[in-house]
Amino acid sequence: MPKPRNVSGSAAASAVENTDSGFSGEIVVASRIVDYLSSGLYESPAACLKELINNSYDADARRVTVFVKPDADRIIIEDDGVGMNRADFEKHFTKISESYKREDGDTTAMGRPKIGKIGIGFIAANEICDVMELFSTKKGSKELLHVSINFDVMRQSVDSRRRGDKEIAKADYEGTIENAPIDDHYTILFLKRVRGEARTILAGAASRGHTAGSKSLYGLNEEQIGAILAKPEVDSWSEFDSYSQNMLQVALNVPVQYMPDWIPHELKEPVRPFVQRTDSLQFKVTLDGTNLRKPIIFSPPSSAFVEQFKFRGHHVSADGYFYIQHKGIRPRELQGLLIRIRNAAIGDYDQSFLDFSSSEGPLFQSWVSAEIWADDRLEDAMNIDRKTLRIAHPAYVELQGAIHACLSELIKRARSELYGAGSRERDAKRAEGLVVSLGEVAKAASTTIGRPAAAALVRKWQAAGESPVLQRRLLKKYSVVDLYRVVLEVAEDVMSPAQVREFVKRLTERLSK
Amino acid sequence: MKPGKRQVDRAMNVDRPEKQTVRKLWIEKATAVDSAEGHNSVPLYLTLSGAEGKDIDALIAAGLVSRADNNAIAEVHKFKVIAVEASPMAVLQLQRKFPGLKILEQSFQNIIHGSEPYAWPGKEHENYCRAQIINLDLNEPLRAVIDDEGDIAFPVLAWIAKLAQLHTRPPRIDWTLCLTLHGEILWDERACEFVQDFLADNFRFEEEFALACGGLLGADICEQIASGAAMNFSDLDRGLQQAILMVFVPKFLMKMVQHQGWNIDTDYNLRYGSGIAAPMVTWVCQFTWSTNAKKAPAAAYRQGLKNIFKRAGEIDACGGIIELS
Repeated sequence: MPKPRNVSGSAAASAVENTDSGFSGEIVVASRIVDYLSSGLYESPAACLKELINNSYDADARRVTVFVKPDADRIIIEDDGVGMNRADFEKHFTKISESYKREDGDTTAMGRPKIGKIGIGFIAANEICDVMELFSTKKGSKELLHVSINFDVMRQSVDSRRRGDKEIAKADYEGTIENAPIDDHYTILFLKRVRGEARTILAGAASRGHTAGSKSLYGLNEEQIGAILAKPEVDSWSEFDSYSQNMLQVALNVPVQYMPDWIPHELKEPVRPFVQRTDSLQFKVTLDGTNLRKPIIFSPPSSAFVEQFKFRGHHVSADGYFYIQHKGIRPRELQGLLIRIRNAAIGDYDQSFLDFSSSEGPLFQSWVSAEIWADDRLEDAMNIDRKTLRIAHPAYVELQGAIHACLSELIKRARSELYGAGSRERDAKRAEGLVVSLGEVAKAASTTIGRPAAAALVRKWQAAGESPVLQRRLLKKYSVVDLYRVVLEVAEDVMSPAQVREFVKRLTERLSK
Repeated sequence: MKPGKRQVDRAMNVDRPEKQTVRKLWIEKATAVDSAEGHNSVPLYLTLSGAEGKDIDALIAAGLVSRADNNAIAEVHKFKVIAVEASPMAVLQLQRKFPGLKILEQSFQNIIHGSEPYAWPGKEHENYCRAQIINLDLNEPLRAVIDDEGDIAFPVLAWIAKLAQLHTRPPRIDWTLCLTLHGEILWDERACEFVQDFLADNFRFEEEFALACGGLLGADICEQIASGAAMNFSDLDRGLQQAILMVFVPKFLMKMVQHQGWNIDTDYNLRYGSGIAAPMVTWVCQFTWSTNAKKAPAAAYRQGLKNIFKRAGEIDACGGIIELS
């Protein structure tokens, strides 16, 4: 076996050092991007992981395997994508500010719309580790690219990293070309020396400023996770440890499949196109042995409905679904609106529904969970952090209007179909309870009003309970005076005035207990 | 480089009956240690498992380490086994097979800071290096080097002396060393002379040891060693080279750690690999600390010598253990 071609070299400004045996150089980026990066582009380790996983998706990987546990001191991300060679590496990695990722087209060879745009995904690694080691090979090539990127440079001051007017050094790298079987194609990232807080969070330990519970999803398979998330008592993802929360956030963002029974069977039809769309991407991610599925599970406590959303506008088009159930959705993280562009989520669920009026059906807003797939025109409105949108952008404004109009209608429907139905059910139950109580009073009073009168009263009350008209009369008003008026009306039908007085006395004793 | 192509992984992958027997000895020991009142603050087992992790498989099969429902290492056992592997691709292969396994991506030499007497593992690594069983399954011969003071040194044995020292730190932990080396001797003239002098001295002062060595090496070789006439151990046939290691390694180890307070029981001292198979030597040594051994190291040392050949012998091609008579 030929020896690998090794190289070592010091970084030189704007220069790439080449020898027959290898290469080394410096990664430079436009200063504006460095500023973004310095201001904390990726707020959480999950955000970094999903960027790297989405890179694999853009490389047409069908399977991505991520290893974090037991203590996240090293993270491995392995994919079976097309891989890269030295030329690809130098093109994509060493000049970050250019739009290289889409210059060959905005879809991959497999036909997937590329998520990445300006090629900053790998910089996510910088946020959580000091060193990234990359191994990659392409099908048809006998070369295995091995590059080690040292992010320590990033920790230096901006002035010392400045390279000319526009560019700022981001990292140093060293690479070698080794041998690989000609049919292999993959990329493997080793994130080494994972940094303090990121390591703590990813490992699942409690950390400052991070709300985390003690339950863990580590070691569970997808069915078990689905069963846990479907439990109504799971109020929030914050009940899980930080490792599990990261797992859920990653799974929510990247284009993995839905769980098999994520929505009740009778509601599946309207969401079928979106399930099929996701399935067609054939993208699987495994984290520490667990196959990730979208952590979206709806288990309506009573009634629910799904409404498809379709919008064709001048500045943006979008489709998706709104799921509405009677009662607030749990876990709370699923309340709101999740926008996907090119199948990747933009941030988390937005509980404000793009600043929908908080006074319009505030109760019902927590009953709604929506996923909307917007077309590429909304991408222009997306900020570099991939989690927020520019609210003045015409595409945003137009989509916002459409979403709000749809939500208004749905709230009306929810009020009449879910809340109305719910309140009718509640009314019937309350009337039934009242009838039983009054019947008990009548029975208790039977010694004074006589058995026949008491029995007649009970029958009358039962009949009243079965009559919606009388139910409404019973329940329309809640004052004691009103209640007595109805009672007297019924009692006087079947009892003598003396019996009625005795009955009312007993009823008063009962109500005053 | 794919891990399967490394010599060490090829060696690990070959599931010869002899190797299966060695693995059984390790698991037998691990089972005994695990069922005893253990130290939960340190791992049960630290291993240079290779990319295949066959000994980890065996630990799982023996029920010493559990897998979770998704086949990852169970959370409760996440630091019970620690693997040491320097090659990133072999790390990946191990991690694929055992998601959630703790793997130190370094050479063991780096972790232990080589044979540097004043450089010690960092805090996290120190805890791992205090595992109750340390399995140094090295597919390499016992190298001899010249140290900074111009003396002959054996780096692997120096690591072990450091491991022993680490185990004496409070809370003190009794531990087991599983050591496997390639059985071929590749020492230069000076190293051979050093070993010969060392053994000859011991033959003179430890009659019982000398007699036992005779049983293993044969009278001719023992006489030659004792005579002081220059010997090149590399010229001996491979069975004798293995036997020299079987005599020298545990003996020299005892000498290196004799002032640390350890009683050393050599549970197994075996050679294997005949025909075209690589010649190997393997030991399982129990280190038990005692005040007596600390106060009277010479007595503990002599007792240790008696134990060197307690279970010495050979593993045959079918995996059977043939003990020295």
